[in-house]
Amino acid sequence: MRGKETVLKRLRDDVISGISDDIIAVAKEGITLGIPALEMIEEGLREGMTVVSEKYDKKEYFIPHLLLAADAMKAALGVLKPLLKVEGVKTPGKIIIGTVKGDIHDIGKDIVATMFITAGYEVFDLGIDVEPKKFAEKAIEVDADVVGSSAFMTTTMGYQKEIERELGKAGVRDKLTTIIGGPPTSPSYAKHIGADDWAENALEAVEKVKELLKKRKGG
Amino acid sequence: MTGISELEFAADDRIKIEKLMKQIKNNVAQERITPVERLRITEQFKIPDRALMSLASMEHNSRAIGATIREILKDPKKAILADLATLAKYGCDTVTCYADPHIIGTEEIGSKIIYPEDSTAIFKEFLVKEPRDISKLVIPDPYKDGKIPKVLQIIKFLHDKIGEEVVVWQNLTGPFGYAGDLRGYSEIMKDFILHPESVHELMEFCTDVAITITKAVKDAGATVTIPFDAMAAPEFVGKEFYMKFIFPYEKKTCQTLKPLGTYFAIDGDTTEIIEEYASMGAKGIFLQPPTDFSKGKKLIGGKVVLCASMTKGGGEMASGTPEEIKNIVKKTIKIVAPNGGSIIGSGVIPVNCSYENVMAFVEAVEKHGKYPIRL
Repeated sequence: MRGKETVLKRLRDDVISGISDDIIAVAKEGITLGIPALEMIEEGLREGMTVVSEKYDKKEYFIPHLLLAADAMKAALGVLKPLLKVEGVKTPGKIIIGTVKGDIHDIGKDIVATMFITAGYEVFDLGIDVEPKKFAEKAIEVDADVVGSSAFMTTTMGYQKEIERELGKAGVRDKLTTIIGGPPTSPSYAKHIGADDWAENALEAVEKVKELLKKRKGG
Repeated sequence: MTGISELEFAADDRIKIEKLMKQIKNNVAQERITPVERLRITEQFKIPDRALMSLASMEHNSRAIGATIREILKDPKKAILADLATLAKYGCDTVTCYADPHIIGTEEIGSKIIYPEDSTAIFKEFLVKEPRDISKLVIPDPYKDGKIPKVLQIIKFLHDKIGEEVVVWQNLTGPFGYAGDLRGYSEIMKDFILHPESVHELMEFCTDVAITITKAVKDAGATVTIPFDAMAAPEFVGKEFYMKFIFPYEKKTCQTLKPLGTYFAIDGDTTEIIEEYASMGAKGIFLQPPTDFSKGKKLIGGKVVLCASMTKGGGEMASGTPEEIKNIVKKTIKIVAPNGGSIIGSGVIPVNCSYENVMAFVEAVEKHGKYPIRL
């Protein structure tokens, strides 16, 4: 169907080029044409974001490109997500993500969130300057599989340990997986605070979470 | 030094300072030459007694006097006491002056800063919300505006007290650092593609700010001034964007400040631009993991002083063992220290870093950084 193919291609291309202005109109056009929202998300947006990820991996794209691609994707998801029917939507897992208390750096977190959405996860982005307790509260509310936290500064990385403590206090620590990131953090720091893993960048985060969830499910 | 008023301390603080000064001078006397002499030899690319160390203790200084981070950011006298107490405690070569370079200048330009009681100051919102806001920005007067005169007081005091022996070290903000703090790093990176002309406009302004502040800090008596550009390296923005939007302004900053012997720091992996970095005109440049230190030493060793940070900041200093820290220091020394011309940096010391971990760094440089390097 030429109309459908065109819409899907334009969704992909707008994500790859990071064009937010056009993508909303394209998504609405697709709805008018009767293309299922899930199909537009998976074969349009996610395909586009997969190309973006590959270009980032090959060092053809960098953070500026990722940010614009993420914006375009978010803009389209804003239109399409409300149309998704919950039943039949499979997801590899539910992820809570946020930048810790006292920290307003969001670049890393935003890119990681986008990569997880691209990989099909259901992502709950708590934003920046998030209290440790909020991570635990949200994890319980949505029955999360993964809690990820980002800290950009040595003065805020301590809250990543607080998150581990709050998850333990809430009785959910053993039911989920935690992963941390951010410039002052390291694999040894993750081990030191009791996090399950650490990721240096967004691509690594997706790979590691995939493995951690596989192990958790006994795969 | 123009227009910097003297700080008056209460009697009991004067006694504390004198006591700390005794300890500091005693530490310095333990070695054959002073840290300042060591720096001068390093900058001439001759061989000193041992490699110079730079302890980026910053907010960690507050712990030496049981103060909070906000206290040392707001009160210059507390900052001085904290700086001297840290220097006396660890016996390192450098004293860091004002703990947070990001807020020197940005607040005075108009950014709203929140000062949590005991954490890093944060920007409440970014001042430049749209490109058209750039034309409203005004370069601050470092001798009159906001807290910058207090920062200069701290530097002058430390220069006057110990600047002949100990390296008075002030981290500052570079042009892209100011641009990111005023516009937001996410937004300015998107502007590379969406509003390129506005990036140039903002970077021109921020270059002038960086030059103005650095000159004043140097004039106040800082031995080493090191403007720092966060998120600037090609690993974040790509070489093409770096060369187009960041390098020309960093170069202008370094060239203008060349007579003052300023250093420069780019955050991130600078392997790809190492020769351009060395060509900017800075006396010394900061290398941070995962930059290839071997390549740096090979290509630009002897042309600029290499300040090799053993970690990115945090990381092993926060959670590693003293043994792990010593091993990283040894590894760093082995690569960058031979034939002189290098400074071994600690990376930002986490605010609650243990005494043992900091001393592991200090002792490892003292032991393994002695010339000839036998690693």
